[in-house]
Amino acid sequence: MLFNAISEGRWVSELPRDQIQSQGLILVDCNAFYVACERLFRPDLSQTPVVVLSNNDGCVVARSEEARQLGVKMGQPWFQIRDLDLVAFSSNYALYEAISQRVMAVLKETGWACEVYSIDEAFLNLPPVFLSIELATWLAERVWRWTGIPVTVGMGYSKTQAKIASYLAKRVLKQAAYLFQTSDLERVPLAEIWGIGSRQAAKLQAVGALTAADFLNLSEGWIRQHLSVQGLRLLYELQGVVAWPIQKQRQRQQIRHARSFATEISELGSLQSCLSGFVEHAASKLRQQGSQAGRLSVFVEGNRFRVHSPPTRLARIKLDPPTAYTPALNQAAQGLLQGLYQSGQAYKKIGVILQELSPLETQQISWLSSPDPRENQLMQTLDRLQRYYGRQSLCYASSLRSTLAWRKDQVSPRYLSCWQELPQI
Amino acid sequence: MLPNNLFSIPESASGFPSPAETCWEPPLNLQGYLIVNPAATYIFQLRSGWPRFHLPAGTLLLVDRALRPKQSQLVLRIKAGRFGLDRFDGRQSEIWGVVTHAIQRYL
Repeated sequence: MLFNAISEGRWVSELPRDQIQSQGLILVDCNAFYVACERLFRPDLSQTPVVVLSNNDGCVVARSEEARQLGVKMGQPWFQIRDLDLVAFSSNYALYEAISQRVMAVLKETGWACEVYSIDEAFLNLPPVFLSIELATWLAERVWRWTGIPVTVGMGYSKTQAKIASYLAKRVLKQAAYLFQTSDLERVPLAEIWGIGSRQAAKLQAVGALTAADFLNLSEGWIRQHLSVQGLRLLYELQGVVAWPIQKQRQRQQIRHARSFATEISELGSLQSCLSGFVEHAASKLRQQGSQAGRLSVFVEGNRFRVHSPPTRLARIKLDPPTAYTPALNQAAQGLLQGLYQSGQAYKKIGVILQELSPLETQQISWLSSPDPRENQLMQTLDRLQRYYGRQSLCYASSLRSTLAWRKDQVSPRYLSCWQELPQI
Repeated sequence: MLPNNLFSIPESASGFPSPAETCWEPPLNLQGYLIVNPAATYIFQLRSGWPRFHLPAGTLLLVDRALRPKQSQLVLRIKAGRFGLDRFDGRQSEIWGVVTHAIQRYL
């Protein structure tokens, strides 16, 4: 309905009101999620300042309230804060992902349509009459009781309103649940609103629009002209008309796997084995969402802080036919790496990107090669075995050495995925 | 899980169909028996024995956080920032979860 109206160039305000179906949206957002995961099995740290560091222990990606009060900033490099009296963890993504799935399972159990938005956020879609502080408190209580993870619940009549409610609950009101009120728009700065980038914020500032309430006062014509149809959608969302509906399964447009090394690597063999591991990882994600890739890119990056390092170099190749078969993807990636590699250079980072994703079943027939059905079977078996026995159980020999290169000095046990590392009493 | 077809017999080699084929039921599944609520159940291991509850070192405990503890049930609780076991008497605070099963290994 709404999308039709937008493409026909009509405004929502011209539509008969009863044709716009009101919806209820709930955003459930975990509080300092990675820190909460680390604390779940460490009750001794419940009052201690805790931070979680990025891959390779580079910088802060999550901090507890206590760490925030010590002055620790998000994204701050680890070496700047290592002398503070706090506990730091390397990121343990196996743990975070396992706990995230539990949180999402509690939300899905409600029976309402659920969109997992990120590892620590999800939207629920329900009839608007159900929106109430009682319901939100019940939901937050339930997630906390079942999983041990504290959450904030924001409610509204669109995703944007729910997001604003969550922002106000967390940052301003310091409470677990909040239902969006139109009067709140005056106290929400535009920069805090979802979907407004810094360039657009500058444009809006120039015409005196600083808060979400100011944005609502702009004419639809002006918004459409200056911020395109995305801006118009945002306007409707702020008014409580859903323009970004819930998506039950989010399909990735591209799959990227890249990491920085702990120490620079200059020999081709090491780079090859790292890349092989990344391709394997990306390919398994690709198959998980039922896709195949039509294009593959590889990039390498030198150390930005050194003068004589190579800059970032990228190469891409078209995959014909599109494939989800790891050996084919790896062969393509290794070929690109051969072209990018310069001997004698030191590399800091490498990555692979899979693009032009299409559903696996619509396999185009190429005149040159007929896809072997056994490839599919082999990949399914590989994925199952890795899911069952762990990622390290079975892999390509070429990727074996790559695990050595990562720095994870302070990683917590794999409490939920390894019998040898169970939480102890 | 394991590939489904790992133990199945290829159709061409199966000979006469089993008269019991239509009565097939899924085999007993310990996972489902022990863990009723997977989203809320965590597995702990005892570093040292708890003679008071007849639990030797190494025992695995299945702890369900969703259950509300009842009188005298075994609970995992936090005391002075540490995990501990106790019989629930209605007075304790900071209950982490209810112990539903203890698994001991004999070999």
